[in-house]
Amino acid sequence: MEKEIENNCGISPNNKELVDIASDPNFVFENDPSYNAITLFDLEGNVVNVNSWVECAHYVNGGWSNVSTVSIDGNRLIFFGLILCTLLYVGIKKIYLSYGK
Amino acid sequence: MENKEKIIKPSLLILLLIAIIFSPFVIRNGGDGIAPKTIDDSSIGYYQSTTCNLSLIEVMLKNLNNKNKLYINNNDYVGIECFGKVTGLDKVNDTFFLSIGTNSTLSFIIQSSIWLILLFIFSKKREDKIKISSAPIFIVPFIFTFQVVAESRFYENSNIYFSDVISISNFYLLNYFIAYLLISILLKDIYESRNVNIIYLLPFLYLFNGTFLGMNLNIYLLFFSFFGIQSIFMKKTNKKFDVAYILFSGIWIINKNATLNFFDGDKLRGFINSSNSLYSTIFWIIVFYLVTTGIIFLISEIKEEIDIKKLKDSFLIAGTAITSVGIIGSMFPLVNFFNFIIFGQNKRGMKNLLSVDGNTWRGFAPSAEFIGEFYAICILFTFYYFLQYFKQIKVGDVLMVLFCAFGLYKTNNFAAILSLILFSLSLVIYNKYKFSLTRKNLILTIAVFLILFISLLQLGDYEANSSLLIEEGILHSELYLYSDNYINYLKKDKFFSERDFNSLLIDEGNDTRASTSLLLLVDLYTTDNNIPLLPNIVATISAISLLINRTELWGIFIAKYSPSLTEATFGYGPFQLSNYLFDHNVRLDVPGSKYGSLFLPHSSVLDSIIFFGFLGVIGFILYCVRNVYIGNYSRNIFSYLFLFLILNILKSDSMLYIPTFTMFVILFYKTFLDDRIKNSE
Repeated sequence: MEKEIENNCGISPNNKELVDIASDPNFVFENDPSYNAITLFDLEGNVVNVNSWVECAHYVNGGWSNVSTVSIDGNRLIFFGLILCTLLYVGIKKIYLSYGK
Repeated sequence: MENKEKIIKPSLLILLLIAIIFSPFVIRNGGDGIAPKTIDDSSIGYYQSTTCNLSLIEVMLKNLNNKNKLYINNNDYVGIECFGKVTGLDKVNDTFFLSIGTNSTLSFIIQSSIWLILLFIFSKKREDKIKISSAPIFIVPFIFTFQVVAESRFYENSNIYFSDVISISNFYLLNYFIAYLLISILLKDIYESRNVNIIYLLPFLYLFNGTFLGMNLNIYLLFFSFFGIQSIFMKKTNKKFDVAYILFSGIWIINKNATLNFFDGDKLRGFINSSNSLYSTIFWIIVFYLVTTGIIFLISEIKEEIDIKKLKDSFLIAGTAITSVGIIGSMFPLVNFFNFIIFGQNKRGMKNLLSVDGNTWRGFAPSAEFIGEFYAICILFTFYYFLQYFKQIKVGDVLMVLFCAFGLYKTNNFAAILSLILFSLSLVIYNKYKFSLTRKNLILTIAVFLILFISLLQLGDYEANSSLLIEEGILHSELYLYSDNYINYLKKDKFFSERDFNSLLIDEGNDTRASTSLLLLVDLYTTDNNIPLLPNIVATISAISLLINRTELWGIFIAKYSPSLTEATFGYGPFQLSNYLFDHNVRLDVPGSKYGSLFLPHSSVLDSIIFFGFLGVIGFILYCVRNVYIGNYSRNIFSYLFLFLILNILKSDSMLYIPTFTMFVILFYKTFLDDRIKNSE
C-alpha cells in the first residue's frame, strides 16, 4: 500500500505519517499550500480533489486512484454526440433549402 | 406573418440557449438516496466523498439561506459524468470552495453553441446573397486541433480525456476536430445568411470575452482565422505585409530555442502561447496572421456607411452590461460562476466590491487598466455623438454613461480619465473653431505638446529622476549573490548616489548576470556621445516613467528582458512571452506575497518589442508616421479614437487581450487603409 500511496500522491513531505482518520465524518483535512492538488477517482468514476498529502494518502488507502477507469466512455459519448449533431444540422439544412426552393 | 416569424424564431433560440446553459447544472440521477446538505464545517467530509452526484442547482437551493461565505470553483479536469455536479468542497480561511465539474471538451461545445446562437440572433438577415469559399471549413479544424498537440503541456492538465497521440482512435483529438468542423460550417452559414458587422459587434467583445473553459483558445481566434483563410483564397491580403511576415516567420522558426518552460496564461489565457516549443510557435505564427487578415477582411467587406448612433448604442449597452454583471457577479457566487461560462472570461470576476492593489476594482474584466480604457472610449464616443447630435441625447444614454463613468472610476485608471478629459476638451475646441488638421497644424500641435511636456519634466527633479529607471532595473536584477537580499540592496545602493552604474556592473562580475537590456541602457545613459541640446534618451524615458507611475514595472521589464541581437531585432514571435518570463534569472525586489505574481511589461509597445522586435515595432511606427506626414490618413472619429487608444496602451498591456487587439486593428484600418481602398476602387 505504501508504494501505491507514493505512486498516486508522491513522496510524503517531511516524512509525514498517515493518521488514522477511520470514518470520522467531522474530520477536516487541512490544505497544504505547497502541495499540488491531485484528482483521484474511484471505480464508479467518482472524483475527488485532494489538497494535501495526508488527504491523498487517506483516499488511496480507501481504494481511490489517480487513474480513471471510465474516462474513455465520456470521450466516445461526446464523439457520437458531435457526429449526430453534424449530421442532423446538415440534414435539416438540406431539407430547409429544398423546402425553400 | 413575417413579423410573427421575426419574434418566434429568436424566442425559440433564446429558450434553447437557456436550456443549453442551465440544464447540465440542474439534471441529476435521481433515486440514489443522496441528498444535498447545508454547507458548513460538518458537511465538508460528506461533499468530499459524495462526488459527481449532486447537481450545482440543488445544492444551491438547499443553501439559499446559508450565511457562510461560498465560492464556486470550476473543475475542468473531470469527466463528463461529473459535468454540472459537485466534485468536492474545501474550506480555506472562512470561505467554502465548492468545486463543480465542467469538463473542458463539453464546456467547449456548450460555450460555442451559446456564442454562435447569440451571433445569429444579434445579426440581421442579409439582403444581398453572397457565397464564400468552403475551403476554411476544412483548414480550420487542422490548424486548431494541431494546437492541442503543440501546447500539450497546457491541455494535459486541463482534461482527463487528454491524449496527444496522432491516431484515428484518439477520440479526444477527433472530438475537437469534429467540433471545429461543425463550428466552421455554422460560421460559413451564418456569414452567408446574416449581416455580420464587426464594427457594431466590437464593443460586445469586451462583454463576451469568448475564452473557452480549460483551454488556451478564444472563439474570436476561430472566427477571425476562418475569415483570414477566406481572405487568402479571395486574394485580398496585402502582398507587402505577407512578404515581410514570411521573412519574420522564417527567422522566428530558424532562431527558435525551444525550452520546457510552461506559462499557464493566467489572465491572458486564450490569446497567448503557453509553451516554448517549435510547434506552438508555428501555431501562433499562423494564427496571428490569420486573425489580423481576418479582421481586415471582415471590415473591408462592410459596404454600408457606419451608423454613429448605432455604434454609440453598442458602446453604451456593452459598457453598462459589463459594469452590471461585474457588480452582480461580485455579490452572488452563483452569478460569478455562470458569468465565467456564459461570457468566457479569461479570469473569474471579482468576489466583492472592495478595491485591491492600487485601489483598483476590475469587476468583471481580467484587468482594471484594460477595462478602464474601454469605459473611457465608451464615454468619449458618446461625448462625440453628443456634440454632433445634441438634440437626440436621451435619459437612457445619460444613465448608461453614468454606469460607464462608475466603472471607470472604480478601475482607478488615472491615465484613461486624464486622456478622456483632454480628448473631450479638444473635441469641444475642434467643434467650436472647426480647427482643420493640416500638416502645418499637426507639426505645430506636436511642437506645443513637446515644449509643454519638457517643461513638465523640468518641474520635478529631472537630474534625480533621470536615473530612476536604471536603478529600478538594477534593484530587480540578480546581480550580487548574497542569500540575504538586503545585503544585495545595500551593495547596489552604494553606487546609486554617484550614479556609477558602470562600476556596479564590473563589481563581482555583475555584468555577466545582468540582462542585455540593462547593459544597453547603462551604456546609453553613461555615453559621452550625447547630442547637444537634446536630452539623453534613457534619462527622458526614466523621467516619463515616473510621471506615469511606471518606473517599477518598466524596471522589472529591464531586469527580465535579455534577448540576443537577433531576438531583439526580430522578437521571439507572436504571443511568445515564455522567453521573457523565464529565460533570465532575476531577484525581484517586491514584497514576498507578490513574488509569484505575473509581472507583465505594462506597455503594449514593450509587449510588441518582445513579440516582433525593434525592427517590427519601428517598421510599424515609421509606416504610421510616413502616412500621417504625407496626409494619407482619415480625418474622422476613428483616427481620433486610434490616437486615444495608442496613448493609453503605451502604459498598459491591453494589446494582450483580444478585444483591444481587435479594436486596434479596426481603428488602424479605418485610419490608414480604408480611404485608400475606397480610392483604389
